[in-house]
Amino acid sequence: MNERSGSSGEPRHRAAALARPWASRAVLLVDDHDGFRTEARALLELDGFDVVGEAADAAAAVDAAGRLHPGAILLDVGLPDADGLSIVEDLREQAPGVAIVIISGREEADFGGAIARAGADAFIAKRSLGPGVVRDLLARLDRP
Amino acid sequence: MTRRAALLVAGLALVAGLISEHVRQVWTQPLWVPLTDLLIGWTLVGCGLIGAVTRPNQLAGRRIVFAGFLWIVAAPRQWFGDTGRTDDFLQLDAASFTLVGWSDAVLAFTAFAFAGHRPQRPRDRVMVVALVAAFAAQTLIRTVFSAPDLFGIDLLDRDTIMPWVAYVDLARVGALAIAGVLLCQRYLAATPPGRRLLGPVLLAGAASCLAPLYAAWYPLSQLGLISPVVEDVAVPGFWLSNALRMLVPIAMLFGILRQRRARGAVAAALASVGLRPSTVELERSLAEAFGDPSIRVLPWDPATGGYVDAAGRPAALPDAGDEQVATLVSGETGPTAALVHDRSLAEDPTIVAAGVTLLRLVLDNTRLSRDLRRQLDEVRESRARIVHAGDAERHRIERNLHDGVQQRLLALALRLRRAATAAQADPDASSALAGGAGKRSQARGCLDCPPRRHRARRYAPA
Repeated sequence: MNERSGSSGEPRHRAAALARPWASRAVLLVDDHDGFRTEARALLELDGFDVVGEAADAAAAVDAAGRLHPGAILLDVGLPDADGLSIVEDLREQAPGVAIVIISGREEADFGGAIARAGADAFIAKRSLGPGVVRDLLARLDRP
Repeated sequence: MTRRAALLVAGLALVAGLISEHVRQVWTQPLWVPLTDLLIGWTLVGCGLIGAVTRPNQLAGRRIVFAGFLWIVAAPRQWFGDTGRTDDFLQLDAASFTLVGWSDAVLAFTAFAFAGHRPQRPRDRVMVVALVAAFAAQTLIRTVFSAPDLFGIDLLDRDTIMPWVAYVDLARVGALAIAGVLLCQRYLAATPPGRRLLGPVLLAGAASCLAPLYAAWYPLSQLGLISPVVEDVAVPGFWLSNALRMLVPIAMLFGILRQRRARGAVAAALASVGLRPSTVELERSLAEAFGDPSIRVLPWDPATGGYVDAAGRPAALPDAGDEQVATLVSGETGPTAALVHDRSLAEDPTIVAAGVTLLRLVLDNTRLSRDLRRQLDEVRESRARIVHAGDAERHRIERNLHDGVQQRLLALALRLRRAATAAQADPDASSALAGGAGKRSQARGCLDCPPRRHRARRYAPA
């Protein structure tokens, strides 16, 4: 897991995240595939996001969410130790107000209503990821 | 015994009766004397034949037939008024004289042995031996007495032998009386199911044993112990005795047929218990069939190596002195159950065998059903294991695709898109970014394929 902190020792996005979490550019990336995380991080940073942490499994994701308080979490479904959908509530407890975006190599229809039932905010198929996709999605979520 | 044989024996009895009455010159007596003689003999033979035909495995019927012929050959002599006897059939008449009363011995033995083939209680066996000894002694002493008529020789002076004939007659009547008391005692000691099963035959046997008591007046008077009985007393006694004798075969036949009904009830129980009755239902059906409400079925429990009751609790078998006995039922693999029933039922092995057969059928059926269910469960579990193994393999393949090819392709696609975005700003930088990433069209082509995990799911077992 990689993390980046501000010079004060506190996550620099924390105040903004607590005030208006979705408006924060701090993103936690949760996926068990190193190569995908590398490319996704680069893409997000290209879009102006600050990838404050990465997690390769569910336990690390919940831990990182509690410590880093990201404004958004890109959460893969197929994690080695748990189904990503099953930790949505845990993540939200650790980081209240966080925007949780499910990412998967499968299509949203494959999950039926499981994504909404799990309490996630949005879904992006991995094959649809590209420049501006996450940014536009979070902007729509931020809209009242 | 076949019906044809029975008819033949019946015809023989008819002829033999008429001949016997003629040889013994009973026709010279008032008509009711030979008629009651014949009626008793023919009733014995007729009832015995019905019993023998309807219950071929039960010896009682044939024994009653035998007693009937003995009666026909040598009914107790009753002489009233002028005897009018001649010496026409002296030898035959003397021979019948030696056999008087043997029919009573056979009927007593029939009652003691019922419902089995021989007496079960030691005291009954002793009694039968005593009866045979008394009757043998009677035949012997009467043979000596009749030697002049039978063989033309005078072994002993008749005045000398006559008291001995009287003594032995009294001994015979006494032995019969004791036998009658023993049969009554056996009836009274029996449990209700036992009385229902054996009662008619036991009481008829007792009546047969006690009926000859009336004849004791003759030897007693001969010995000078009592005055000779006048005909006004002897004739009613004779009628009473004969009426009792006539009831004996009828009552015995009733007892035999009742057993047959009991076996029929076992067959009805077989039809009523259904395919897989519970132990309680089985006990109820058998209790109705046997007329024994105390009956219990104790299945064998291989786990504990003992018998258990309907609730599955360990159950002890009756002790040797109990009123109940246990008939053990075994199968190919060892004990399967115990049938605990009234002791009296054991006296009729055929009825218990019928119950055991019913029990074995039901238990075998239950065991087969249980085995079938177990095999079905095993097949279901086996199928579930196969499905589970296939499912696990499918997930493994899916996981491999997810972790491998698909993720690499997705990462590659992200890199290409980023390169495309960068190319718009800086073509040189985008070229470096896309280096080694392969042709864009190839990656796009792969991404346009159905997701690999979908492809993996196609291999899920039906």
